[in-house]
Amino acid sequence: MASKKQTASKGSGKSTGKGAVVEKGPAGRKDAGKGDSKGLSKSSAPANARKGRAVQVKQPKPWGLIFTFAGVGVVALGLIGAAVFVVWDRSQPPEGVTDFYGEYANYSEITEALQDGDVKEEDLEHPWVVQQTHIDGEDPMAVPEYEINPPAGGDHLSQWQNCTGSVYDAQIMDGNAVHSLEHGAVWLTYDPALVDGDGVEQLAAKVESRDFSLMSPYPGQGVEVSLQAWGVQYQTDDINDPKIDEFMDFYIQNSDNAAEPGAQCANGLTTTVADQQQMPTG
Amino acid sequence: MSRLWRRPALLVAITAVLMLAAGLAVGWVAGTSAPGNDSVEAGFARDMQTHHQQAVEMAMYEWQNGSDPAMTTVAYDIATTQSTEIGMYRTWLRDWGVQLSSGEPMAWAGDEHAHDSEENGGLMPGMATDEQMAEFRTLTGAEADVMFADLMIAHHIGGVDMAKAVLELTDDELVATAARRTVSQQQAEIENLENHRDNILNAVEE
Repeated sequence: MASKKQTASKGSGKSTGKGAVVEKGPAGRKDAGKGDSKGLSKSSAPANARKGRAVQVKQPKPWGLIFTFAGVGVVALGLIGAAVFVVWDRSQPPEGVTDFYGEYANYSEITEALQDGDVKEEDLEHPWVVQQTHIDGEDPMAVPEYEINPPAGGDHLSQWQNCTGSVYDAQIMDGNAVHSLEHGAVWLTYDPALVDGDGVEQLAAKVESRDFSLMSPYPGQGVEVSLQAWGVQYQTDDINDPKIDEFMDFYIQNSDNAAEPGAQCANGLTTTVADQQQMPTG
Repeated sequence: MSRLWRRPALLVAITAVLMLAAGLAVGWVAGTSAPGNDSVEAGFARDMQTHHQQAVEMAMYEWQNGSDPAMTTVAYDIATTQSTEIGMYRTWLRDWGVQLSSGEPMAWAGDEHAHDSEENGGLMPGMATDEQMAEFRTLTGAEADVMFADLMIAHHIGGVDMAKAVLELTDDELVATAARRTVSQQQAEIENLENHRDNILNAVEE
């Protein structure tokens, strides 16, 4: 008996609840609305049947129309939300990345500003991000030097380093690796003094069989892992850092950042610094 | 809430606004409406396909027959990069539903450029003539390296001109971004081609 009374009072609470709803706020209002419409849909059919055509005061609710408009509204809101999210999300680089484009977002924007005459190359924070000269063109023996090590862009050598998921077990030439960055590759370097054999294997697994990536030891970089793409760098002392994968996903062949998108990683150099020193000169 | 259902006019208005916003949002993602068959953008894409195809042809020959490792590497780079871009232009044209070729090179760029191409035997800026291509195909080694550099420098200067012409005429961000990229990339490549060529010439003189 007690339970019946309770349900009855609940029911009456619903019908009179409208006045109280205002205090409940939007969440309460939603519940009330739902309960209300359910109650109506159940009771309206038998009510009509009982009273027949005599009572014309209340028109039946146009449910088809309501559901159509509600559905369209939900779809429309969903599309707006999805569009905003998609546009926002695809433009977001992973957090914690150091970029050398200064006030510009990426290579595309900085070259646009240069071509429109909004800024001059010498006034850029890091002019090297737009410098792409083959240093060995002017002097075949010249070797480029970089503002940061490992480098993340700038003038380079005429040959690129093979970057078809290439894992090098010895140091490679900076100038060749930077040419690979120009083609849209991500270069993973590790400090051999800080990362052990297992760690190297673990990192190699991320690079192997992934086109447009390459990996090599970089003695003295002072941080376990450093990732380079053209104009950007991310460094971490945790080889399990999920940002390593995020960086690769975002920057590999990212045409807003690669200075020469569409170029290839195959057919480059496969030699290390040591190999080149053993080669006969001239 | 239930009162709202009794006002179809308001509902229609709300839905209309929402649909409009949704349409704008979709359009925002999809980019601006597709350029038409006679548009500057379509003309540029068609001509750049043809222009690039000759660069690929020259670069493939140099890759096989040149001797300087820096120059053959540049050739490989040009052949692969420009092939990728040909694919990009073709995709644009197919997406826009316009014809893939045209008998009027440079017509999109206005009278001045169309006139250029008439003077040049109907060729676009920087394109090598049939005679030049025939001569190039007889060369090997350092001679091929040097002629490749000369032809490709002229070709790139023409390509940069075409890209600059479209930048003056288009508001299409897709096309403008690609054109700006062509300008920066090919200008950098012209400098590299000149340096590598001068190296080869110096070595020959020595």
